[in-house]
Amino acid sequence: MMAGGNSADGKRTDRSGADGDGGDRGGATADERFLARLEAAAGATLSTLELPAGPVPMVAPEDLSGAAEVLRLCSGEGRRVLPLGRGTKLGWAPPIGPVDVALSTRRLTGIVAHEPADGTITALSGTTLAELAATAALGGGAITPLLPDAVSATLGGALSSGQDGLDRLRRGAPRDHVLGARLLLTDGTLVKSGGRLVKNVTGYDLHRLVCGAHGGLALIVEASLRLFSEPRATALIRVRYDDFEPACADALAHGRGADSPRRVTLRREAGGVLLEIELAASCVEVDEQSTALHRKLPSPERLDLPASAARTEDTAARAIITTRPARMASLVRSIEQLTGELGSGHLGLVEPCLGRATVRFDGEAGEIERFAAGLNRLEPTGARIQWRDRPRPAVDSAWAYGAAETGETEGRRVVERTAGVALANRIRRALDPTSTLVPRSGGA
Amino acid sequence: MREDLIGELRAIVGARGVIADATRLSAYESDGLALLSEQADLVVLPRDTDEAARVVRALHRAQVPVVARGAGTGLAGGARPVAGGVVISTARMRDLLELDPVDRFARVQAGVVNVDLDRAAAEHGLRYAPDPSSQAACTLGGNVANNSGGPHCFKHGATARHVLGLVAVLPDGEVLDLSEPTLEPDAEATGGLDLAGYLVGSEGTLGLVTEVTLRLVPRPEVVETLLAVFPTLDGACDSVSEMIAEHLEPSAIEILDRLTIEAVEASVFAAGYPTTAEAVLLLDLEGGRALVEDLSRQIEPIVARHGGFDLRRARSDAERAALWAGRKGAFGAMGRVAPDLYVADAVVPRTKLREVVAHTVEVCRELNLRLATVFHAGDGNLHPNICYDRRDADDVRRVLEAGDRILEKCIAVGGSLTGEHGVGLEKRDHLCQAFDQADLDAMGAVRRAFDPEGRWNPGKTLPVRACLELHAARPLRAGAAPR
Repeated sequence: MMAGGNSADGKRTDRSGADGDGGDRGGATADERFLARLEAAAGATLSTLELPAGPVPMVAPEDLSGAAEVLRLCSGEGRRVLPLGRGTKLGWAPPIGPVDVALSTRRLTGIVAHEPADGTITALSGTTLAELAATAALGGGAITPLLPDAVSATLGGALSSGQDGLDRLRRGAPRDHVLGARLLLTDGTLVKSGGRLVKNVTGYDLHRLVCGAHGGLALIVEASLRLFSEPRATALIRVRYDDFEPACADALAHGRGADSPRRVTLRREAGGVLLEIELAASCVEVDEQSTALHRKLPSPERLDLPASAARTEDTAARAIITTRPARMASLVRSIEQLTGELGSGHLGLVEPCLGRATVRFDGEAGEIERFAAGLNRLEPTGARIQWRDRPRPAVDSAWAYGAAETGETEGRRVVERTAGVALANRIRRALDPTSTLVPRSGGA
Repeated sequence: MREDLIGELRAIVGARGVIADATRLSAYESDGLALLSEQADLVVLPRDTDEAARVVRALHRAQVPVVARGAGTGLAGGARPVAGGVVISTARMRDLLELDPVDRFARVQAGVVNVDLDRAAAEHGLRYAPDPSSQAACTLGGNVANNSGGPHCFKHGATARHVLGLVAVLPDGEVLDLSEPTLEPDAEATGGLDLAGYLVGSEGTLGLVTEVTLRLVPRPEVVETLLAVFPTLDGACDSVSEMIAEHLEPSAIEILDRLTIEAVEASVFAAGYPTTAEAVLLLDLEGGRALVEDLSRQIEPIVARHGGFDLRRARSDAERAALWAGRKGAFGAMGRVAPDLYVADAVVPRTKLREVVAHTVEVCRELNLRLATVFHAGDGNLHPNICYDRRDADDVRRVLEAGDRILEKCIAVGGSLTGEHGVGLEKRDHLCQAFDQADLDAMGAVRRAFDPEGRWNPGKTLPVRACLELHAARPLRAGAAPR
């Protein structure tokens, strides 16, 4: 095991510890001493996290004071920390630069407060979304996001990764329903923002900044969510089309009401296109919407079992491509043409009302860079591309945020410096002045 | 103010875009919180983002404090000028830049009035959902600054949920263009952070929002407005708590008390509220016909269980509009009762409505103040309105004491200091009741990342003094400020 840091390209890095003997000669001893202090600080034994660049020591403190001690120790010794929950989204945004310690919140679990009569729930960040959902259901409530991997996804991980769920269309972005949070800064300070109220504009919303920041600003240790009414009924409406164009048009015309369905998706099936509209609401609302859809759509079929329940989280390398909903049919046409030309990858789930489509890569690992560069040809049409679980070559820190150079470098796009990126860097420095937290790439 | 700076600003925005004479400046001395006023040295009115950026760069070079202002309808002193500073008003930025009925968003300049966007959206069967009571006057830029709410935010959420993008001029004059509506923050434009979301509710302390991209939603198929009459305010509060506990979801749940009803009925906003009632509950139900009927059926017995009677349904759009005009005109109608109105704003858990409302009544009775209560009951967002005369020093003292005691009670039951009006200057020092010094230090650090020199809306939103000093100056009452 090493503590000198494992860079993304697999090379060991030398990050001298506070002992002053962290060079080549005394490194092993300093590393061992550091690991012992790390264990003592966390009050937990170390394990190992396998990153693509190599193994790193991982610690999972049992309580907030242990987590604070770990951050304080690492910050004081110049060690770089990768925060994570159970690590299910590490492939979404790979760490940039070396990682010395992985800090997992998976043992910071438990419901802190559940107020069904007030529609709020608060939990420690290592609590799984499945446990949160089960607790909320006891009071007739439901949480968002609704994830296929809720059993393994933690609250903190889901919020940090900015992950939305199968209910995005009806509920909107999960960050809109985070009422408040407690965060650990890298000097070990515990801070809070927001509260446990459904409406509140007191102070700045730090909890909004950390949603989607991939742990690059602070460690989320607790969050409060707004609860919704648990749907009493669900139904799935299916319609088959010959092509995407009429399917997109129908989806946009009938899949977005004042109260939207939970999910509206399209996918290729048996030479045609399958439109699925999932309704989840009160019995009266589901019946009413279902009846209306049967009136408006060509030959719909209704199933009373939601397909969402059976879906699993996609773990293949995939590109999430977004555009405005009105351009969806055209985007899908371009994607299918492009994947045909590239000879690897195929169109996955299309969410027309959200303006989002998934392209799954199914070629040889070595071909993915060429495939990704090919997909970039969609960008001039206004499409935005984010990769998930994409095997990557080394990602160095100069590439990451605010790099001055722009253009193509070895097949990778270099992030252009913008006012927003420069501002994001200043915010990172404000909350983590020792640059202890490892930044993660935004998937660009 | 230096003449050369005034000349430079005039060259950017034209002579009509700079106000420097004392008489005209007096119109900008305060916002809706008339208790706090200060004269700015200058008011500048740019017409677009480019002009605004050039203005901000000039003020940055001159190191002048800046206060952003929409329509000045805020109620916490957030738009009150600072001495020796410049107010940048968005009053000339009133263009609807784009309305896309297919992708359901609008891009507007910050000075567009809230209701004007809603009217434009209505032509396409859409609407802009956040509807503050001041929506006929308040601007969308101001709404963004305060993360404004309104009655229908109970179902649709406050402004933050409707902002899809924005353009802001940062304190150094750099333009942050995040106007394209995206599902998630664009990593290449924001480093992956939700910068647009963070600017919402930042009360003009992080920069000037010049354009906003806003989500529009379909107008509901059916809307039913219900008015329930209660013999007690407690009964109205309890019926709301039960509706929330039963997961019923009207789109708006509002309560008005007797004094408010009397004031409304004696004003041009007269809505037909029964003046003998101690409280009325105003509800909007939205959705398909069957859903609305089902909701109505479930609400009826809850109202009855808590003493409500005479549950009326608006029979026409005109009647519905009148009922809501009464509610939205309530603050204005209070002008008949007293020369000044202190509009408090706090949030409590919805299970504590009755307890806190009763406390508010008791505090005002003790201090011999007239209290009118009107509030967004569904969100637990209270607006105790206290009548006073700002020319009477003792009146002002008692009003401020009442405000303090009401806020302390809200915090003590797990509530917050403000639900939609913001912290501004009014509640700046109260923040130490809701947060620790460490919390505020972290917020301050991020604020400095936007505005390192602290020139934007200085002295607002965060306490200037340390919490320790503030606590020492005014010890908290027992039971306040739990963590």
